[in-house]
Amino acid sequence: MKKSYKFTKLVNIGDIVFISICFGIILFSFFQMINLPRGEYIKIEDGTHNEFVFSLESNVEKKIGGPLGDTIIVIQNNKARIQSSPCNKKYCIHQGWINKINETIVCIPNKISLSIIGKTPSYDSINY
Amino acid sequence: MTLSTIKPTKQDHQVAKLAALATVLSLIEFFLPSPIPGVKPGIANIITLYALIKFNFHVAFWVSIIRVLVTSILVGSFLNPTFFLSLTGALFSLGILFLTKNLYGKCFGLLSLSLVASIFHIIGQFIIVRIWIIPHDGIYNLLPLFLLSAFLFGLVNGIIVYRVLQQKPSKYNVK
Amino acid sequence: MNLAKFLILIVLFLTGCTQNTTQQYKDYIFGTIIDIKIYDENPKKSEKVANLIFNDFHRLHDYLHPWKPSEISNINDAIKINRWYQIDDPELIEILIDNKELSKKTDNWFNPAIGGLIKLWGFHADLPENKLPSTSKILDYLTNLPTMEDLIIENKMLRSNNKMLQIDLGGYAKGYALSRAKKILLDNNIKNALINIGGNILAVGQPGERFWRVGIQHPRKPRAMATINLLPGWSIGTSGDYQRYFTINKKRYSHLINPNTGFPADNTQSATVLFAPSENSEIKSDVYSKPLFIAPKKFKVELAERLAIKNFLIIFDDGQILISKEMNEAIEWIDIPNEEVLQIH
Repeated sequence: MKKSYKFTKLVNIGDIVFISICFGIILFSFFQMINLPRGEYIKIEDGTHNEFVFSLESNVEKKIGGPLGDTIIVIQNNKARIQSSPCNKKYCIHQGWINKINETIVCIPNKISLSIIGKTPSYDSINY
Repeated sequence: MTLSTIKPTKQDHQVAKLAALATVLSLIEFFLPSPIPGVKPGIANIITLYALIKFNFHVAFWVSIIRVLVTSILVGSFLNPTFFLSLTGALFSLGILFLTKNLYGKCFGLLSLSLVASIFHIIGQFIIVRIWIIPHDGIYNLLPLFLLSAFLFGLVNGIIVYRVLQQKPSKYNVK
Repeated sequence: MNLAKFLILIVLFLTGCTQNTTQQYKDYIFGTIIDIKIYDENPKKSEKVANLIFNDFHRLHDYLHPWKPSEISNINDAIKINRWYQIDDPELIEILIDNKELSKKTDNWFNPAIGGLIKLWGFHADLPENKLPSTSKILDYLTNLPTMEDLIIENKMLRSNNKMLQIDLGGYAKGYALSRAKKILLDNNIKNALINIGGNILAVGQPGERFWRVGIQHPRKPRAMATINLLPGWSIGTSGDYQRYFTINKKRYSHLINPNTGFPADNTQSATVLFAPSENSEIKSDVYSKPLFIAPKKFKVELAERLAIKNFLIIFDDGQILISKEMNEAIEWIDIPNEEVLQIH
């Protein structure tokens, strides 16, 4: 049963190289994310494929129904968040405010997603 | 691929013990609140890694798979999306461990092994989330955060496994 | 160890999940990229049809190519030595007659007979040659400027009064290819597709309840400046000075050459036209962007009216925008090149 195993140092040369590379990639991905443009509209989708689009400039509270009950979404000062949700873990509420293009909050239990979209939706092909 | 096909050898007892331990860790993690969804320390991976280094890949594989199955049954998420998420994460990290395990001891130590396992764990889960659970490009914005947490916890778990293996150096072949 | 099997299962499971209702096919023909999207069809069938289209385009490429050996270059060689040339392919005769008509309609602002001038400017190569032709050569060429009127087609025989005439269907081929693709799609009962041939796009049907949506390239930035819905059957084409050009002393020389001056047109950055479905509308969406690009600014509106181009968008050299009323209503700006928009009613 006893199997011999190599016992190496905690930190080897390869470890240092690998850890640095990983850290570099992660830093880079954060940097990319921060540079994303700010969004302009918020798209709310419910589990039945209904889509609602609101301007981020509006200051409103929206009640959207899901399988568990109503989720309340607040839009103000060019950002949006979920204020209350009937789901158990309330992860969606903890995500806080979103305001950048493609930023998304999803409440899986109540099947509601909000995402920030640009003034112009994406396109299928480009004419050049 | 069912439990019944495993003949209770000595190794299987070892697998069972470790899987039980891993399941307990998984359960602790399940009931601990997480500040951000998806960001979890993955402490059960400590056992997988320990099994891989101390025994072999075979043990690590079954420890990890049994842990996923049993945990999901105990918390009632068996065959739920959550279950497939942990299964995919486990398979991805096992897959990369299988491919990289021979590098261990050759310039690379536990830190690299733990890090690569934890990063592939999150990548596997992320793929499932993107194509199945939340088919929306917006979740790419969450990727950096997930990667960072995988990075930090991967390192921490690696250090823990190292310490655990160091506990009784006299019992094992130490170079 | 069953790990391998297990991993294969998982991979199959993952790929099974990615099934999308829009299939996309790409190929590289006419020195550009062809992109075909087919919505909601059996993947086997749509792949088959996409390949039919690609094969047809390869065939077109082989006989329309202006400078590599092709039927067109054979014709050009015969004209050079003042010979009659026999064409057996009725399709090619139709294409040539169509080109004669189109250049007549556009007062030769669209002039596919000036292959020699385009070659003089070094655009008869995969990459432009980056040198200016001598002014005397250009003036020489202009004194005897060939037009499609010089091309005489009698029965299956073809010849030209002007030995300088060299046919170059570069401004026509993509539009013609779009019309071929449309026919192939309809023949094979594909109802919803989007075809992009090097920027010229034709919408067939629509993807579900929405319309096909296309971006319009910003002439100076690496992204779209606007988007627009392409309704079923509509097509869009752009002539831009950014497509093929070279620069000498910071001056840009594009492949869009004004047949009246012999020099690349430089009053415009891009001209986009949009056509509703009608007879040969796909061809018009390619051909008619050229006159709008090349003609002097003051002629553009009149030319658009005369050619019945209802939807057009022109970005002048200074970024000023000339846009028709219809186009202005349909377009959604992302990144407007100039706040000063001259709208035409």
